[in-house]
Amino acid sequence: MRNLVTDLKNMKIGLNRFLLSYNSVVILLILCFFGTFFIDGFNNNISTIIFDSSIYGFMAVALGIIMVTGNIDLSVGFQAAGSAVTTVIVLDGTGSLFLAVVSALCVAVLMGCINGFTVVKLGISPLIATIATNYIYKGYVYFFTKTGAYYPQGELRDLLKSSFSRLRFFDLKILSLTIIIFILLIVLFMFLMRKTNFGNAMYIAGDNGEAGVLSGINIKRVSFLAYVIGGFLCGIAGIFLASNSGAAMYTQGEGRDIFAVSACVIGGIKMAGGKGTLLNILLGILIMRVISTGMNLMMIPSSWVDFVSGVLIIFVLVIDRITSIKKEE
Amino acid sequence: MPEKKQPLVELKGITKSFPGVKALSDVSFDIYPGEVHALCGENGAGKSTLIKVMTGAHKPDSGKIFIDGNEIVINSTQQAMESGIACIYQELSIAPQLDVAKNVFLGNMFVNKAGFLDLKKLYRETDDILCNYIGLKVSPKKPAGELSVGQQQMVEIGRALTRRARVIIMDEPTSSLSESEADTLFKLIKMLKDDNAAIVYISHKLDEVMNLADRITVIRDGRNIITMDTKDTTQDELISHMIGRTLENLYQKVPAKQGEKVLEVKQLSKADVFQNVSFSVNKGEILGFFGLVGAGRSEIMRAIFGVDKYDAGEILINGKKLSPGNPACAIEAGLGFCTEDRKLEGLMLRLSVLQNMTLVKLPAISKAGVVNRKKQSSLVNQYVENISIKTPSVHQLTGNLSGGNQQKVVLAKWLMMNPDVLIVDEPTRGIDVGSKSEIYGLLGELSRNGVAIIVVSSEIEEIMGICDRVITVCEGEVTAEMDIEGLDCEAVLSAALGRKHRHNAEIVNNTKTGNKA
Amino acid sequence: MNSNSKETNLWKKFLEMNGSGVLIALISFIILVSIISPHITGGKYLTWTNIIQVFRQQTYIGIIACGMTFVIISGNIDLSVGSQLTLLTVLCANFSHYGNLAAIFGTLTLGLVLGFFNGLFVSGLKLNPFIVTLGTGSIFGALAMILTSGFTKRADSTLFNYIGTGSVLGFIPMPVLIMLCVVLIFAFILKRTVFGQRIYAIGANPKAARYSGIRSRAFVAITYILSGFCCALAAITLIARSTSANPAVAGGKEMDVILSVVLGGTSILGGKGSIWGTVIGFLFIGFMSNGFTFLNFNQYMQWVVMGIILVIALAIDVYKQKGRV
Repeated sequence: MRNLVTDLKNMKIGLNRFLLSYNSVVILLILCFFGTFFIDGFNNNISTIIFDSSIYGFMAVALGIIMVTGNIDLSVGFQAAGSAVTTVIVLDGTGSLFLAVVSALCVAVLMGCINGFTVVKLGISPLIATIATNYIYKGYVYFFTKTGAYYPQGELRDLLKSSFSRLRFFDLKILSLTIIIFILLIVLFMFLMRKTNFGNAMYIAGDNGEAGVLSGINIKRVSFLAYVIGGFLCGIAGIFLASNSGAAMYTQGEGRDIFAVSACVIGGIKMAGGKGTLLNILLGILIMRVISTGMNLMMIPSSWVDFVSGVLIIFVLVIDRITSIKKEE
Repeated sequence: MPEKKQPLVELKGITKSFPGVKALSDVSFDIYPGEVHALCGENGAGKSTLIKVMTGAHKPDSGKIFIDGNEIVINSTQQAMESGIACIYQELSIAPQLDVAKNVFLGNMFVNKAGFLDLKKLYRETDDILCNYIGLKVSPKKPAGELSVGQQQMVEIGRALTRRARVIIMDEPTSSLSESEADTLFKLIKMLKDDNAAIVYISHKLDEVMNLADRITVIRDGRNIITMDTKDTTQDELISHMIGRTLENLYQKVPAKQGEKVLEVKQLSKADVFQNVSFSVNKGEILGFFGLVGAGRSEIMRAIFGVDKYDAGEILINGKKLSPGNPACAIEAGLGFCTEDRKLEGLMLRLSVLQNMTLVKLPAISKAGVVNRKKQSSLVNQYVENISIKTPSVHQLTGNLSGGNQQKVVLAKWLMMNPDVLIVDEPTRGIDVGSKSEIYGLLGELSRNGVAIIVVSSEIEEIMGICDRVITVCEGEVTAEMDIEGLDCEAVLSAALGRKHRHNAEIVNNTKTGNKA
Repeated sequence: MNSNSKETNLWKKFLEMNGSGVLIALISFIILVSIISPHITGGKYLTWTNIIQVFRQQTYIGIIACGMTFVIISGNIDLSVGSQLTLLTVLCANFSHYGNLAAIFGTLTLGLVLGFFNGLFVSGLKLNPFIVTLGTGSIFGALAMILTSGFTKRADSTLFNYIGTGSVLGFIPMPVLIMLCVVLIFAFILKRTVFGQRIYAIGANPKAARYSGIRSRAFVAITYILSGFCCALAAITLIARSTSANPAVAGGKEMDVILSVVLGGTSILGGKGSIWGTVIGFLFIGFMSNGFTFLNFNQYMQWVVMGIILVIALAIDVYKQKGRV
């Protein structure tokens, strides 16, 4: 963001290059403009957009952090769902919200560790490895939810529902706990990635890991920890998901990784790694949510949302390709 | 003159073998603070192995390493770094998307008391190093990938400086630098020297070596030949040390009968890479293409073969114009290209000998797209036998063969298509002497069968030993064209060294035409 | 030692073969289930009906996996096959109202078209195959939903009944026969034709392939088109079996397909693999889920066990490759 400001201040870049460099900002602005003026009720739903962006955003941020180190994780959805299931089971069994949250986070971190272990230690290609581990997490989730939902008994459900997602300050949706925690974590990780040695090493791992090793950086540890952080973030997402619907459901995991990958790619994270900030991912998430909420309000069937996001992914890749060709020249 | 009390780093009796090759035998080398010590030798002489022993990338089989007089064992690159040895590799290790400052301080970032990166200090220090030491005028916040190769090299030197390296090894640092960039580098080296750092300088460009180095060590075939003070020697003496042995055994040249022109290249140009390259090759002729690393030889060949595009010029094969930028067309026209880098461009290491060898030939031994396996395996077996490729079976993965046999597989791939013109780029790089002479024999036999061969090489003796004619290239331009007969190495070398020696080459050229007349 | 050397050599050769580890695991699994199943459920596991059942279940995965093998060997990936399958079954159901020929040729042609789009993006525009096929997958899946409005579409054709329920020689069901034909033809193309050999070359070293005059971009595009064609074939067999197109039928099936291919020893990096390995791969997945069901194992615990076995199998594969070069 600071780059954007300085670039604008210096007015060194032409409009063309601006559009290419900050395409996600431009897309978001256009979408919001369109929404505000052409869709009824868009403005009233901005808080919904932000709320949804936060709750699903955790997974996208988790994936983004892993992608920066040059790896990928196709199991973020079921890591979150796994955490949601754990929350509900433990709550149901013990009645303690505290225990539920702690064990959910532990399970999620464990899942992150398993991913890190298979990719970094065993050396399996990250794409395949996380498809395989996804089976494990998926089995764990479905075991309890079957093809429906797993509810905690009576009062505990109300307790769960009222504890996290729906907790609001001053009764404002925009000040709900989900959004606040999401923003806090974004700020925290943004700080981590920009301002610490570890964050810097993550970028090196994705950019040129070999050079990092030659300079004495423990690239393997960094990549492993990225998976662990990813697991942790998915864990938090799972707790909020469970709280939001008062139950654990298989739909909390199904198809979420596609959303996460789309948000990252549209935000400008590169498959090869080494590039992108959390702000980029945030933009990607917002774009995705604005589109789906907007289309929802326009009464367009939800399948069109998938269609548009598919087109958007390809569009972003094509623009990316054009910029890189231009740069080469 | 530096005081020569105790060497900073001393290598004693280093021996290192790889499967099939003894890369270093009993090599010793020392560096004193405040000196530039050049390491000279041909490709494959063992220079890079020696460097890798010093930086901890290779472990020597025997021998000792002393730093400040204390014997140590270097187990990892990190340990070498901590001991104050830094290396600037030929292939740069830059993280292209990170900014310059973060590259300079890669793995060595400033952290404040709270444990956070001190970015202000980072940029300040980088600015300081770039301006005051290196003289690189770029913003520390620019992504390193956007710098020129030369500037990236400066960044790597900056990295060595920030590590407080006392010994900086530079492997062919000027091979991809422009003249002004090289001058900056030389100034920097002098400054480092005044700061009492020691520099190991490796370069093919002998005039640079003569200008920069205090001492020169020549190694050849993995052995120490001589270490001498630069002021006591001349470039010619250096060359003769580098070439050394007599070569009659390795090269047994039987002249082939030359026929008509097969390949003709007219005024081939590509901006910033090569200019106005014209030459032709006849049937049965072996034409050498000599030049230093980075002179543009391989680029010219790649353009002829159609892997790269070119801006202007014309290529004729058997009088027919070759369409540019299409290797498939070149192959159809009868051109074969045995590339410089076997592993990157020549072989599929994960595929078998059989698959590799018949890759180009496949359409010819198949009917309606279906490969005739009998023909395929009999053909492969025939070639394996004829050029004696040592492999347990034709289904062996090429990755498991020795370098020499790998090279023969690549050659066989091209021989199978019965080329009219065969370009071989560094045909004997990194392979043992036995295979070398076999490959030379093979090329000779081919030429007697009427194939026109272009040998690209940076080994002068190879050119002198097997070619009929030589073309020297320097900075993308043809500097001389000479018949080998009656020529001496020095003339070819100085022509390849470039413009400063241009007149020399022209004299040779004149005598050549004079002889003919 | 010497007397054993020949045997160990054969053993070594077997181990070096694609998917040999998984084959051993598969056989041991079948033996294990056969031994314990009478004690647990009282049923006999290794019966002809049951084996045919596994083949039937894996028909469409198997067909698509053959196409995917080509894509992966050339060093790319196609994550859109699940959605391609869905879209094509929907289209096939629609076409079936215009007659058999229209249904079959229409579906196959559109399969080629979908594959062509993927090929165009990956090889023509040089976009990242992983993300681009994720994107096209999203589009194809959405189109299927839009065309059906989310409802199941009935197919209408007598031919489909024959394809779905008919059998050859009385005991080989038609869909399985189709799959076997695809396997044989694709194995032949991969091993015995110029095209197949060059696919290996492109995957093993794209640069060297270019230096050998291979038109890589066209070849890569063709692998995607083949993958689309396979999806179309699979769609036809699927429609024939269930006589209706459910737009949610194939969600996530690309994962099964990719795992089948990779389990069979095909390297995700390209240049190595075989159809034979892929067959072992999808049979492994098929027999596993069938066996667990037979043992009255919870369907979802199967996934957990499968995931663990997959990780182990993949780790062994990595270890084998490290030891070699």
